Amino acid sequence: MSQNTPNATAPPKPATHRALVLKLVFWALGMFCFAVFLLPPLYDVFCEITGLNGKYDNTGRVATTAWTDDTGAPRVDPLNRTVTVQFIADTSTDVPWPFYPKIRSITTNLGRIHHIIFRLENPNNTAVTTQAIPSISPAQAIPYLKKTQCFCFEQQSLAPFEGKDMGLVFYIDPDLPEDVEAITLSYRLYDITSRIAPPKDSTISPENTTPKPKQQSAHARSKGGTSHV
Amino acid sequence: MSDHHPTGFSRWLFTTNHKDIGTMYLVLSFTLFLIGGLMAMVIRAELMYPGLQLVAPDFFNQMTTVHGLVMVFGAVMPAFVGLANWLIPLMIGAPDMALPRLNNWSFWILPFAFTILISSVIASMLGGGPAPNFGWTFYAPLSSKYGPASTDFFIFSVHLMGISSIMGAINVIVTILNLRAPGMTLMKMPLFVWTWLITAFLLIAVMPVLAGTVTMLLTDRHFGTSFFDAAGGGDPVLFQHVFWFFGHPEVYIMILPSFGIISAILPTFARKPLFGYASMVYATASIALLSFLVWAHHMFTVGLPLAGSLFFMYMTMLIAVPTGVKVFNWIATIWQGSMTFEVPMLFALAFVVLFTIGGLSGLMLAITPADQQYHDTYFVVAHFHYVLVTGAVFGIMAGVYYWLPKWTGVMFDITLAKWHFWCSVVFVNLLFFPMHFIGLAGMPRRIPDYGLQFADFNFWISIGGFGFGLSQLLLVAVLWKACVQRKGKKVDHQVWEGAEGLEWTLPSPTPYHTFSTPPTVH
Repeated sequence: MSQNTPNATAPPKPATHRALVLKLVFWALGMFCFAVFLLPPLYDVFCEITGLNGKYDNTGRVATTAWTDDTGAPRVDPLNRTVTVQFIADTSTDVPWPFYPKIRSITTNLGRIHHIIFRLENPNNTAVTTQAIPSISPAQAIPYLKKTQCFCFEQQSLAPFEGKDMGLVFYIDPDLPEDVEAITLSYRLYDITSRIAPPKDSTISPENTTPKPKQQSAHARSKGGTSHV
Repeated sequence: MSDHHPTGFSRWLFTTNHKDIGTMYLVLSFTLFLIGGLMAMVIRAELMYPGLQLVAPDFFNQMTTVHGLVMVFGAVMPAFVGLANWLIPLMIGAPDMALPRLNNWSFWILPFAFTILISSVIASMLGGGPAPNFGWTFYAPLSSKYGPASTDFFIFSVHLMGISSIMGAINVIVTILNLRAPGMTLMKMPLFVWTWLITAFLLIAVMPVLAGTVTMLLTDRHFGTSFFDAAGGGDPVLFQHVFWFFGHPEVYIMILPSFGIISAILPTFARKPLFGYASMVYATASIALLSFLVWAHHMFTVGLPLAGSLFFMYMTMLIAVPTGVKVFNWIATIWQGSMTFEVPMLFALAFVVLFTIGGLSGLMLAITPADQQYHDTYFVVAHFHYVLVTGAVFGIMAGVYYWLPKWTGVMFDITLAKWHFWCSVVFVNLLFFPMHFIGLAGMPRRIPDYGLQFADFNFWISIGGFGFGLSQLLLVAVLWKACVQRKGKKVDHQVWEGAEGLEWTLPSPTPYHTFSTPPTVH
């Protein structure tokens, strides 16, 4: 490895080092691109495939049929258990609007479908668009809380001073692990008005006329394209 | 070759000499060590008594943040690069670093990077907006959505530091792979060279990831992206994954060269060859590889799935094996050796004992359920200060004392240096050991106030902090006498009786140009 050893009369020309230096520079640039362009999408894909982290499951699995198993037979909880589901709604600090569930918690049999109303009010005289991001705790309950309909599946637009009742339809899968006795379902509301093109008037539905942010629509696709149960 | 060199300011500005650049790195690093230390004094003064006395909570947060950044990127990393510049060419028999002009550039970026960072603190003290106040880990959204305007200063200064580190690392790798003297095979290299070679590969692998992290932060702040913003489909947890993918290899970047220094010093003063040279090399390489597979052990409380927690817990514990090999080899090296206790040896022995304490608390933190309790408490602060202060910093000090007579040609003031060692080692333990207890009792990090039950411990911790800070003034005095005044007994080329290696064949002080004709290693 010492063939490039210099001596007093002929110090090594930079060319001797060029190949190695270029390799190392490319490696450094490659690691930068890896961090910025590959890690975030890999993270999303990894979480989606494995279900680790709950990122995608957090938005709720779309269920079309609540009551049947693979053979079409109705399903019941063999243990006739009940579980308490608590609802939490809050807003990010720049959105100090009233946002709350009409009922704080329910105790339910597994498998029964519930319809919960969340109330959101816009106290300002400007139209706004919001997005709710759900989170479920404990994590092992995530796959068993099945939403058939949720206001978090889409952006919510409110006219000035409009109040809105927003629906959530869900049931708890009877396969829920036995040690889970309570589940907390929390929603955090974000103001995304500035992220989307301003609507021409406040009554236009954003789903039809305004482009969604890129990553948001990726979520929507993933939710719409997957059907569980 | 004549020993002539240019003089005046332009010598330092335009120099391509590895010894000049190494000196500048070390001076910059020591300056920033003192500045970062002053910030630690502010932190400890505020925490001496419960309640808020001296500084506003927001300024306290700025102190913890900039203290961490300055110590990690300004004190420890440039000190190692300075030692690498000084020593690697001497140890492998090369006339200089392989890329001297790049070397000059990578140094001169740094003063500007830290001027940018520290100017935000000065602006804050003069009544401007706050300096970075989100902790050195700059978690989103604290640094994205809630970051003060000075966050952009921080981002660009980290960009500059990253560029500097990457260029320095490229230089080290090219030097080691291309410029070794005839006969200096890879497995004959001193361990300091080996550990630096591996560190340099780590740097090239992860400093760009840090640059990517701050770039994503910048675009999130100003250009409408949502990498870390849930409202736009991003995820703040992604920030932590990307940051710690950099951050964990980074902690090995800050300790591996110290391993190399200790592996040079212990054989010298035990008068025995290093036990298990090859296993030391393999252990260092395994630590470096494993460091890429453990990052999420910093994130056990973000809600990792069970499989993830278990994987990262076991991988983290696995690192204890190669580290244990190293500690075993060091002890086997001094076992039944003819030991003498010169100042570098004192620091090296303190390193072995105290770094192992830090390693052991690291093993405790690796246990996921235990970490849920320890997370974000002073136990973590105690752990990483044991590995970074009594590990990395003591290693650097040991190395400086070891090679300083070779550089200056005079023996430093041994009495003063021994005072420096004993004061440091007593006060550093008073400073960091009780942090284990208050951490286990639940005192959180990065908070300027605390419950009354922690009051007595914090008082003594602060005493330890002030004592450790003042002890470093002794080091200033030692260095001033040895480097500026050049007072002290003249030393010969060997300096230490048991020292081995190419650098000890050169005259002391080291001539400006060395190994213009390569030595032959047998």
